[in-house]
Amino acid sequence: MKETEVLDIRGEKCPNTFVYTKIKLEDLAYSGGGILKVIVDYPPAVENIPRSLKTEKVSYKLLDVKKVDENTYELLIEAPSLKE
Amino acid sequence: MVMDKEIRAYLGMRHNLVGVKIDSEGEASKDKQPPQRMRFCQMVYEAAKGNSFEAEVEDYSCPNAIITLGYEEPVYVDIQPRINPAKTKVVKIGPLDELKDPDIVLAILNPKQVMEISSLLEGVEARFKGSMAVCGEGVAIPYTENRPNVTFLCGGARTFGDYKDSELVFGAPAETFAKMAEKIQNLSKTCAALCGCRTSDISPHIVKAFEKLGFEKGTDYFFGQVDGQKVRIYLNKDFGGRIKYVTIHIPIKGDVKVKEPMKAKKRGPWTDVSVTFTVGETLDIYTGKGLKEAVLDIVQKLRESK
Repeated sequence: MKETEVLDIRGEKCPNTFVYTKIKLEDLAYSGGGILKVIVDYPPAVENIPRSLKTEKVSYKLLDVKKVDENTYELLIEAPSLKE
Repeated sequence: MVMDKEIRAYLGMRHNLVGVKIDSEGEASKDKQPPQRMRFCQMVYEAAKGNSFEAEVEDYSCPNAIITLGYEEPVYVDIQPRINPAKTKVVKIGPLDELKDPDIVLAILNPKQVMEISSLLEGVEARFKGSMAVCGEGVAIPYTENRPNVTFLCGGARTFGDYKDSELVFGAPAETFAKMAEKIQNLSKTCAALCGCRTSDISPHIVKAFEKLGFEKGTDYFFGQVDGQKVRIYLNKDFGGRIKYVTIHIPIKGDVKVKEPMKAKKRGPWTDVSVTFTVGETLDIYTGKGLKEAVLDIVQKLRESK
């Protein structure tokens, strides 16, 4: 299993939180798949990143959502391999 | 709907007012569901241009609206503002004159128009943070707190919604807009008592009718004497440009007590007595029919009250 990649997007709000997450997940998927840890400090993103993932054609899997401190959350997402 | 026409004309709005109805039962009409997933704020902007939508949860491309509009409860973290508890099944969005019984009305405005509204409502409190804006700050706050709110929109609305940099959204319960329309109508009547439309714009037929009754044309009113009493008559147009009100104005020296529909306002040693009539009810300004009788009636009543 590859090392978990980290995307720290603290300070970002919607719609950028999902846009950056999606771009990073696609990179990961096309380079063989892996796990992405997304760090956010914008609470609505904790709700809307998982919901937006469900509408994607690629089957990303939400593994965990963790509250780190008062305003910081970590989302662990698995990207499948799309490498040919 | 008169409310829509009156408010738009008063504010000089380029867009329709948008009605929003939150339904906790039923289904969306297939022909009104968005053709593809859309943001709520996009649907609002489209409605302002004349389109109507009925949206179920799967019609949204922005998950924030799903929570703020009360379709689903948040799973991981509470989010505010939102319609709580989440029971929403369908949200109807459309031009105000097409949507029946809206819960919330939205107006896409510029800052000057918001200023006009806040003057009408004697103040509007704005709570905004550039996030979940049209759906949360524009709809959920007015819906849950039963008060108006102003939102300066969010990144999603500005990026995908077609809103101009100079535009913001004012959201309020439908009753607030009804009150605004009523105030605008009253303002139009009160204005008639204080100033009239320029008589140079008034049809020569009307001017002749007044001259036949012994009145002369001033800059913004007709003046003359009826039964020895100086009288001014002001004509006021509605926001559609039609002459809608006639205000008879009589200055009386000293104090006078009057009964409705007469109004009295002190001005130094004088009392300005005025009565406003809606054109067409008892007065015909094109022929002058009923006008002299109305003025005589007021003059006599004033004499009796002295």
